[in-house]
Amino acid sequence: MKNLLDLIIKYYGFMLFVALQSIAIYLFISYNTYHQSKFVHASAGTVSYFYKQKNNLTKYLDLNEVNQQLAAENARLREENREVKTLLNNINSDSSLAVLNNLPTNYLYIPAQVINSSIHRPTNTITINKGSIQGIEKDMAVIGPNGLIGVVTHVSNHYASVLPAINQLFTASVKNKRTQHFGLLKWNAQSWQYSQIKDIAKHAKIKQGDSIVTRGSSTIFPPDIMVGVIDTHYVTPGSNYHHIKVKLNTDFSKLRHVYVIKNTFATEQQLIEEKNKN
Amino acid sequence: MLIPVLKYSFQWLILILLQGLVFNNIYVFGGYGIPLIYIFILLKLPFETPKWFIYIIAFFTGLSIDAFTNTSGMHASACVTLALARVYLVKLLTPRDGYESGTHPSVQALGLNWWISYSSLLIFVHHFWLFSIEVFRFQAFGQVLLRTIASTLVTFVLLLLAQYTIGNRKK
Repeated sequence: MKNLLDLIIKYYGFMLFVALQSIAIYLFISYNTYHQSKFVHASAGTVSYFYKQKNNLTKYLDLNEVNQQLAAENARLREENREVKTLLNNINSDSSLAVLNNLPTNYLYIPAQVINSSIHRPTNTITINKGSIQGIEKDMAVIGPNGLIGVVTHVSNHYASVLPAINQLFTASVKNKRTQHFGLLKWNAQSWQYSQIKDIAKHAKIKQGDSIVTRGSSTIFPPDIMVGVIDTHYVTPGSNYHHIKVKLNTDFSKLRHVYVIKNTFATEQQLIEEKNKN
Repeated sequence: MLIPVLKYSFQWLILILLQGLVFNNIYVFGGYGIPLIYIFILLKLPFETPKWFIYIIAFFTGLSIDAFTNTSGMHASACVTLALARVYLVKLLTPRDGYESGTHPSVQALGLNWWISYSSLLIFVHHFWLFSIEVFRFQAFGQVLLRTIASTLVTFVLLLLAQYTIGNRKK
């Protein structure tokens, strides 16, 4: 017994090291399966408060660029609006299609602002200034003026943290808009301007410059949200799949205004898919 | 006793905020070099600091930075590793007649050469551990090494500059 005590006294420093290191690694691993993570994260009040103060100081620096982005988005939406109106007029004149008019909309858009973001880490994150009080929930999609950004992972009362497409834990089901072949978008933790798709079969006739959009198969992302364009693609000998490098449409280094998308039919879809499984 | 503790806590808070709000947004060498200056506070702990305190303060310093970068446990793990390395390195680098009581690691107290070997080794250990567990894949080893070397260089230079500007007015 005395020997044991002596041992503990002699090596208590190292034992403390092992204990603290284990706690840290445990925290980190539970973060990696990010749905279970409950410990420190940037949406926790104090840190978000500091981010907000910093943002108040620096938000004027890139106002010009942000305005241009928003103006471009406005122009695009106006154009789409005009097209939809023409279509709607045609439908209204055809009474057999009148039922389309009363379809419920299933996506709600909540505007928010980015108050902190990073781009050079494998574990990039974004913090936005809307939280559960404004109706933000976990697993909602986040998009920007130029398309896909990420998905909400943690929510506090006034803030939420977002897992961006440029985080090595992020995945999204996407498709080639022209050919409709779909695959999984997963970042390789290198350049923040490019992401990768590795599971589109090699018989698919994809080509450089094809647009990649979200597939809309999960309850998170609506279909046809712009992701990026194919930059390069190749098939390694012996592989059955294309290795595709996608130039992301969103400039993650200049994020300001974003929209959080609430899918009001999410629970219904999950329920029916759950039933399918059993 | 109380005054140094207060002073130290204040410095700790300033360094955490500086790292979280300013230095986390600075990248050099094409995004590979990230200045992680907050470990200065762990390097500068007085020589007489008890071991257990070094480990505990390292753990919580790391957790605080984790709160900023949204990576629970990652910096904490790297800081605890740094604390272990510090404990052994301080022993290893003891001058022939021991450390003067009441001093803390600095260029002024032990000379430039001593500080260079002390800080560069500890910074390297911390950064290498941090970037390794961040990626957690053997395929990315080259990238981890590149990141570690670039960031070690940046942090090292900044901390050396800090040696001559702050926190060392009295010997």
